[in-house]
Amino acid sequence: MYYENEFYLCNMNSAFIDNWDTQMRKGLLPYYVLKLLGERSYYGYEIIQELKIQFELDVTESTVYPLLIRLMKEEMLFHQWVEQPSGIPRKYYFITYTGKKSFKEMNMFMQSITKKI
Amino acid sequence: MKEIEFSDIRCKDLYRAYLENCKKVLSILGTKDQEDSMLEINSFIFEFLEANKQMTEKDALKTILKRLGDPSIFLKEIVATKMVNQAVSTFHIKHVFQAIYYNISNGFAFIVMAFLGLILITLPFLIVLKILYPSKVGLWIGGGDFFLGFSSETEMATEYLGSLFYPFTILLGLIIYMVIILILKFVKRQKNEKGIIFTI
Repeated sequence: MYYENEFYLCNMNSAFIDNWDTQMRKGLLPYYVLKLLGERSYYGYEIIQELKIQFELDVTESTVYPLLIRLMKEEMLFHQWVEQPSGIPRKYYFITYTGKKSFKEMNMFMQSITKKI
Repeated sequence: MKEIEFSDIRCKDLYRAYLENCKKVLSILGTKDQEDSMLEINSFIFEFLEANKQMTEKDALKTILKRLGDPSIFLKEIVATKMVNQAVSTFHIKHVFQAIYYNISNGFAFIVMAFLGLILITLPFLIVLKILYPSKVGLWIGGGDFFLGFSSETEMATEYLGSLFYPFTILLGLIIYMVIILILKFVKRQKNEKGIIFTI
């Protein structure tokens, strides 16, 4: 009986931590996107792939697309359509000066949190 | 916009139906915003299909459409954001009401604006009623009443405006309209200051 309870609690904690981990990663999504675009320009689908490769973050297009629009509205990003041989153009996103400045501030904030912990 | 080619006719139908739904949701926006969003959605679908050639055409299409989700949900925020920008930059009454409608679930300020908008809509009707029933429409004060509108029992309260009712109502409408615009601008500024980008 004791072992059964312990197993249940362990499973419950694991679900809680998984959920917390997902929320944390999602909360950091704007930070990750700005970090990626600080390195070079990417198009939408590429951003999703890079988030998976670099940050092990599996996000869908329905999450990333509105975020990119929001970051553009905040003048942190700008875009450029690039024609492709397929005839379906790609929208490349670039970071702006405001974006770089915001990322720097976010980075400092992240470091101060890590230090406090 | 160039359509993606499919070998399976059912895939083509599914793809076209999805794009049609997106178009419907985006139809409220300006032509340029609509085209930009449609091109991007098309690009997301195309790039996913290209990168997942190991899947069957049908499975790949179903997967990407599932990842994008219901257009009325995933495009809602984009439409709402662009509507506020459009309303603040154009001052057009149609855009103002659309911005309020699409943001009604986004907080108390939009509920207040919806209420003010409702008052604004009733003012032209009051002017028409005043023309039809001059003695029964006006600003009524007295007998515990204070209201602008139609009264069938005119013994207790007195009407104070008379023919000044028309300029008064027009002025009131303009003031309410300006208040709505100011609240919209305030909400937009607040969002920028709070760094709304952190909420996903």
